[in-house]
Amino acid sequence: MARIFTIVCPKCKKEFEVHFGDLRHKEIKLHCPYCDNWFLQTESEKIDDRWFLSFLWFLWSISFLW
Amino acid sequence: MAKEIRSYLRQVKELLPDDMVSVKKPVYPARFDVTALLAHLEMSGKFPLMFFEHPMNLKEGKSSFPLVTNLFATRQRCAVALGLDPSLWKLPLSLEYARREERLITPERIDRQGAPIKEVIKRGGDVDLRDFPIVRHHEMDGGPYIDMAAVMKDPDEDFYNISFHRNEYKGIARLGIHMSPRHNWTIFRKNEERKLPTPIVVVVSHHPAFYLGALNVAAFGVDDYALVGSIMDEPMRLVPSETWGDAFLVPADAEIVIEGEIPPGVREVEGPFGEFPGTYGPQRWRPVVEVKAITHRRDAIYQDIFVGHRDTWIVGGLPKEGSLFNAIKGVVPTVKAIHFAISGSCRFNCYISIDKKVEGETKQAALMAMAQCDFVKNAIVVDADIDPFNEQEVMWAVATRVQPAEDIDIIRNIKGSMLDPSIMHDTKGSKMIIDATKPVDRPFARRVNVPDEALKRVRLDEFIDHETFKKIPTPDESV
Repeated sequence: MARIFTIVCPKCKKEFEVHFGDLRHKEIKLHCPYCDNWFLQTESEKIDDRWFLSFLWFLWSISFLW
Repeated sequence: MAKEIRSYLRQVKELLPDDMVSVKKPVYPARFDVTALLAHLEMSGKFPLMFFEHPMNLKEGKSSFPLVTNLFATRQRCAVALGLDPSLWKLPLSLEYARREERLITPERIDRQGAPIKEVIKRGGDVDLRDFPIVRHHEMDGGPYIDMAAVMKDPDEDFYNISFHRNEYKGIARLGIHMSPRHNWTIFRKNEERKLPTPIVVVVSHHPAFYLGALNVAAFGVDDYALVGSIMDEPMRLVPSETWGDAFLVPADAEIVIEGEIPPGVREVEGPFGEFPGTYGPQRWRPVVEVKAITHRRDAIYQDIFVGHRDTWIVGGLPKEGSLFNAIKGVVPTVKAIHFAISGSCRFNCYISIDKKVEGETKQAALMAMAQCDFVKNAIVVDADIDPFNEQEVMWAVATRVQPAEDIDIIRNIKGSMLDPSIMHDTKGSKMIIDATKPVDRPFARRVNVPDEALKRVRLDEFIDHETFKKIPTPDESV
């Protein structure tokens, strides 16, 4: 699986998983699988899109500059 | 008589009578009733074929279609599907599959009158997917899913391809579809680049050999109707579809068929869905299927597969074992057996036993498996004294015959399964080879053994009576 982010549904407050490349920062309504609510990402109070390893990879790749 | 699921169910009742459980009480498949029962059974270490006589449909009314699931959850039942004795469930089953995979049986085209799949035909406004007892499998699933195989036809060459896809219920005549970038996806992309719709036929229910055949590893361009016919050991009977006529043939002996088109350039939110590794695939932006027609038998049986559990693991693994065994035999003639272990969802962990003659053969065997199947992530090669179907033995070999610094190799930047939750890229990842064989170029500690002579001479029943023997508990530490 590639990069995912988790998002909390503004209606039922439950969290589900979404594909980062397909849907993050897009103005597309997501579908809450728990309560059938459709909502935009801006309506969610919690989105977790951390990607630690790629950040570490980025640091490593530019380390030769230091 | 052509193979059909009802003939298979009769065979299971006859050969494995305790393997099938019928449930008379109504169940709500879209409210997790079916998967909750399967999960309870799984936690008890039981994996029966489940036949629900009275499932409810998506309208919350009684469905006219009984529901069968968990059909592939044991290799013994898969052996029966190929017409073999259940006792041949280990490597002989895989090798028989591979033998059939090497030939093609030209399908037969028949007329509509003789096709059971045409007993009931619904087109246009008569189509209503809610009539089916579509299963919602796991808590985070985006909705109820049809999760059986779909047929597509290449627009340039005259061949059909069949593979499993997840189809989310989206409306009375609308499904979502997720395709991994393999053969059907290639066909879809060809059409989409030309701004053409892609015809698709979802075969919701058929004889299990049809689905085992759909999981072949043949090259793109091989006609899957001919190859699946070979796995079924008879020519597939095909009949013109309702939507495209002779331009797209459908299996005449299936129970239920959904004909539809994937429009180009259309994407909708789809998922999440509990996928085969036993983890959720995330919500995605995926194509849709516009359903044009549904045809089925008058008393059709609806089929489902319990994805993310043994039902999908075994059906996905065993079709690959025989093919890989034959491929490895080409470079390592002393290969003895190969197994995709349940612990790796029958995809990721591949155990290969060889009678090693020279150093270096282990890696050749492992690389061949990885080259043939992109989802092989961890290949463990053991000696011929280890049974790859016995994971405890395989791990014993890893514990006693592996020095990690010497015997483990990592291959980076290689195509893996896009459904592997640990992969960092959409398709690319790394793989591991563990050489758990003894060296042949130096003496190595032998495995302990009780002398054969003593085993033959000292008979258990002369010292411990049968009743006492039966009462001795068997510790379940091997799983």
